[in-house]
Amino acid sequence: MIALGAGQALIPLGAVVLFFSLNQEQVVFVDVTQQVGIDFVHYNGATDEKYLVETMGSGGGFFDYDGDGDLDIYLLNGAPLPGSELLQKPPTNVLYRNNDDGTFSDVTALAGVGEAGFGMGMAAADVDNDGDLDIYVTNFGANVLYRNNGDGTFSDVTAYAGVEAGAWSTSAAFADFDGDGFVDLFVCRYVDFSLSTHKFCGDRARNLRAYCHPVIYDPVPNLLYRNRGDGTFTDVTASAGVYVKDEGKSLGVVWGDYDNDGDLDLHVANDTMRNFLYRNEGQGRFTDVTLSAGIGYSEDGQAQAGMGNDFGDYDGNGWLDIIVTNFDFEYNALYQGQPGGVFIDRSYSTGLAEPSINFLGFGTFFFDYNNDGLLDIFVANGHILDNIDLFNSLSTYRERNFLFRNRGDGGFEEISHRAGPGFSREMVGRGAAPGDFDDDGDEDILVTMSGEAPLLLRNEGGNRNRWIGLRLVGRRSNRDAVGARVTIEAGGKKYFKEIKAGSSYLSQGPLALLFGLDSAESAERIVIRWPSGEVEKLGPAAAGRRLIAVEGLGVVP
Amino acid sequence: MAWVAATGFTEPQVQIDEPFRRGVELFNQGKDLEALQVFRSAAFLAPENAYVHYNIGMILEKLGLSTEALEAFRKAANLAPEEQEILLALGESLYWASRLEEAAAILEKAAGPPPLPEALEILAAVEQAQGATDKATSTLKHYIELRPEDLDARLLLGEQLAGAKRYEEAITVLKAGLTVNNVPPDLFFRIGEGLSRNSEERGEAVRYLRKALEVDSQHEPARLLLGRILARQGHLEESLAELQQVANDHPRSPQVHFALADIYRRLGRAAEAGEAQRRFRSLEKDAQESDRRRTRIMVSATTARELLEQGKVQEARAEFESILELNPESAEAHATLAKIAYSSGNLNEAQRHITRAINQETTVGEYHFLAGLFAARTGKGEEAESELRRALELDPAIPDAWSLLGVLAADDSRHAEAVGCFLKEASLSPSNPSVQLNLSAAYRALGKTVQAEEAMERYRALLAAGESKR
Repeated sequence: MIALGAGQALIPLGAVVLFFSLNQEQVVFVDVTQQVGIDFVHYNGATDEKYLVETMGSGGGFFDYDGDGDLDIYLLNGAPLPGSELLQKPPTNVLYRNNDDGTFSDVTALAGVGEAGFGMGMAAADVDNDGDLDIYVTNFGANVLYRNNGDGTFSDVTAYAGVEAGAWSTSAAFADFDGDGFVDLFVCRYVDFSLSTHKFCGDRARNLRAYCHPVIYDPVPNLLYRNRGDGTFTDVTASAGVYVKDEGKSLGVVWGDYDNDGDLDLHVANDTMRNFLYRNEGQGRFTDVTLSAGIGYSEDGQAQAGMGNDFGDYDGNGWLDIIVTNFDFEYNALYQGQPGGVFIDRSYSTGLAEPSINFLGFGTFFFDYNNDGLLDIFVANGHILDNIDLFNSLSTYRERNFLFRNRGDGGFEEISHRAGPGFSREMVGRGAAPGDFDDDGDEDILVTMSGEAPLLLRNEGGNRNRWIGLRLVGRRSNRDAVGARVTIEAGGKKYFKEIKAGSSYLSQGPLALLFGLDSAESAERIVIRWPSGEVEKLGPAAAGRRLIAVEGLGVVP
Repeated sequence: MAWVAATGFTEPQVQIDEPFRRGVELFNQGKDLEALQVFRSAAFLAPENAYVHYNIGMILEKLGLSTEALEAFRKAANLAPEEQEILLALGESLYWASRLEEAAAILEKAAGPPPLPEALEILAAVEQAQGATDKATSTLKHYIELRPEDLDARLLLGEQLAGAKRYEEAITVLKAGLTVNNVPPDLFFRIGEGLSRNSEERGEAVRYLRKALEVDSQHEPARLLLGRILARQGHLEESLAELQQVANDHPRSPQVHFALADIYRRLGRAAEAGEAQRRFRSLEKDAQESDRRRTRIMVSATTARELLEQGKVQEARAEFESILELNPESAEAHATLAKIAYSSGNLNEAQRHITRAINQETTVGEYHFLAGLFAARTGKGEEAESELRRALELDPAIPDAWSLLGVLAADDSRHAEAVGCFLKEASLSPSNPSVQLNLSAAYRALGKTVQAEEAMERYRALLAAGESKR
């Protein structure tokens, strides 16, 4: 103990150190959902029948629909089912415009994106390279592609584009896999559940109904659409080598260059079946390398209930890693990318698995919440059985979310209990996306729910460390440079991120990148690997700024 | 369940001592139906004797007549509400009938004081079925304090504690079981598994896993986990040896091939890694397909039974036919389709289905009864009798089989045999008036007019009782 002086209480040295480090650490997330004007409440159509689709939730995300530089929010909604409670007004998807003053306005009707289908997920990208972001909405039923008209409105061009898909779609993601300068589209599809083939599941003897386990349904093949560049798409699933008939039940998809060969590969999270890792071989073809890459299963060879996923380099070794969320009594899986394109399951050794065992994870992403240059992890949790406590008292329907801080030593620490009131609430989390909606230099969080209002968590304190923002504009590459890899060197460290249009679970984060620089005053070097293959080296650039880099022209004012 | 009570010591003995003793003797000789008849007579003589009803319940339970057994236990419990053994039987019966709340209340009482460990054991199962996992764990702990030698219960408790992330407690509970003689390999394995979570305790984990393998060298999970731990410790060649052993002993285990693929890959043996991967994928696909089929059949069967209960016979039929698409040899589906066909008057189809059911499951008494019934309806008396006898050999508790056999015997003027069959039917279905009518006719045919009249009296009484209930 140290004596502080006569008459003063003695404080143990350890406590002083701890107090000091807590103050340095202190980044909290505050729920500002209502405060900013988001009054959306998700409608899941819940019935006594317990149709499986009711409980899978809907997603949403951040994207700048009006090109004014700030992040707007789009939220997907469910729809009535036979036996649902009657409503005065049909529920629709909702688009909120960021007013750039800390508030949002509902512009759904004006924009024409208030579709009333059973909405699942979204992906946003500039499909026609005309300078604004279009939206693809997945549904339980036919999907919808909205073309942005550039004037605050959208047009439904699904039929013309040929991307209706049908059946039950879940996550979707855009990326230019063939390098022709136009973003293509991968659509996950789940199971062959339909209202007419719905069955009783649960404990008949106790007259307890539960949502059916997906094992009783067959998978529906995913779809890969190639963008022809004229506003239409072609289904190239089979020719690309990603058509799978008897495996799948896909819920999450993310594009990323996991093998560092310059093209975009694909990871798909599947429910109760092995995940897929497709290596892009060029020439429009993929190879399923799941097993040889050491990924796809738990460390003891069990297929897990893959829900959401994301790529990111958490350990800074220059190879993408993968996070996949799973069911309760499984664990969230973290696969560490290794040279040569293989993975090692580090779920337990990094500290990610243990806290997650009694939780059911959905949306997840890598992000740097405290701008220390290290990728942290967020997980949105929430069970699928609203009566789970009647089957197992160790599990609950409403669950708290997780924030895992990257310690920088290869491990993570679960710090949700210290991350502010936004993390203490229990909820039925589904989609999740990061995004700096208030433009203050740190990443905030959007979480969508099943049957409840979403959660918009504002990051308070993350911008105490330095940061730099970067938006890319492609010329030979697709317009928003989806798939570009940006590597930053700052303060003796090097980190990279890739631009993604769709990831997590049913969700989308912004296309502009935000890099934490820790205490570095500037980014000494910025290397952009454009989707076209061109590599541009920029910098140095002072911290605290948002840059726009145009392909071939460098940073523009 | 416990044996029948040797005595009904709660009541005055004089009238039923001898029948009680006789009933117990017959039961111990394996003559369940005869024992049942005797105890039913004893119940008639001494309806307030709780243990008579208890013994009736025990025999009915053994015969598979669970609903009737439950009623007998309930009667016994009403007469002797403080008798723990009777409450235990009632509680267990309620548990198997999925009447969990009632079961819990009864078993809590049965558990004592003074403590009755068996009641605690079943109470824990009830609480687990109710989803009250914490409570179940606590009850199971209490049970194990009373029965420390019950290693199965100890393993179950260890699993529950591990599921609740109370890992250290789980290991303590499991280790306490090591003092018992003949420790099963599973106990060593579970301890090893628990210790292996902590990287600092992996050495000790290895020790316990090796002990499991000393007891049972073919314990797949123990050797598989040992192989994995050795791999995590970097002892790849040792790990490979263990995993290869598992693969030899259990070639159809997908997990071992998955683990082998990983080790081969890390050892740079790409071709063998590829082969192991292929093997894993093939086995995994088979396992998944089997799992998928099994789950679908289960869900379809539940739906089908529900439809039948609702009287939606055609929809139920469609559901059972969908089960046959997944499993063409499903005996349950064939048997149910046989019943549906029979009720629609389609005997040929009924016989076709029941034959397939019997081909799959030759030892289900009910199926042979149905075969006998269909044969009788098509005039094939000998065949019918043969099937009915086989049915009753397998399951003497099918009252309708006794009834039909008695009718066939009576039709063939074998009235003494008919009487025997009807008496057995009556012991199983004491409230059924029609059996008394048949019995009366058979006695009359034998010239036993007194017995015939007594049976007729019972018939009238049961009819009247049935009328007054309505």
